[in-house]
Amino acid sequence: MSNRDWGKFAHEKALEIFLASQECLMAHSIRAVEKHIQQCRFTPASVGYSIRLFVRKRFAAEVRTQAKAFIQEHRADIVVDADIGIEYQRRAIAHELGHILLAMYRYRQGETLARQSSQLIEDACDIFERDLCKRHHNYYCDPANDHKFLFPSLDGHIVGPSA
Amino acid sequence: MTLDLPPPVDFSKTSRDFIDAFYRASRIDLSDLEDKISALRGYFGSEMLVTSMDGDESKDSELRALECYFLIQAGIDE
Repeated sequence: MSNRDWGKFAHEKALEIFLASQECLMAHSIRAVEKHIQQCRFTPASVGYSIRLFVRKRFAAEVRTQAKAFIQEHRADIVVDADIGIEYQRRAIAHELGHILLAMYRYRQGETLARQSSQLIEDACDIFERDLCKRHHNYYCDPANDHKFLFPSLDGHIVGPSA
Repeated sequence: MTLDLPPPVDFSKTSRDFIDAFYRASRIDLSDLEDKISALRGYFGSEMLVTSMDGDESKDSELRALECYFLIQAGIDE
């Protein structure tokens, strides 16, 4: 590719990644849970922990619930239904993040991952979900945080062609 | 958190064929729910917790979730 082609490629990819980032629901919280699990050494530090998110059509119809987490020792996958709306998708992801945290806490204490469910855990995950989402809500409602993530240093930059 | 759910649906024929091919390759009793769960859990390797938001801990619910996860892992997105 010529230098001009690379520039065009960079413009196109910036747009593509920007649009894709809007589908990365609860991305900061997911990263924060990964970091927390690693920092608390629920798993060997050298291995780390990774959480992936899958948004799937007809998931609720297939499995009769809006979201599920599939939790293993070194990773977890969250699957959420594509058609329940962004707010409920984000809440469901938060709920499953609660499951991942609680599961890894109990795993570190010597419990098996295979069977941990109980109404107490469900209730705890409901609390985690509501607290976390409400904290996000309060944060974005606070005018003091309005400009925290802007890039004033790029005032002179013109965004490239979008197609 | 509760929402109204759509009525249950079957996986598409392609997906069903894919899962059934896996069961046949695993040489399990196709009529045995526990065997299917065991084969899928074996495929995923290490111990795995499958959470449920609705509190449904039935074997049928677990099997549907594992089958769906199997399709996702295989890159089959309907």
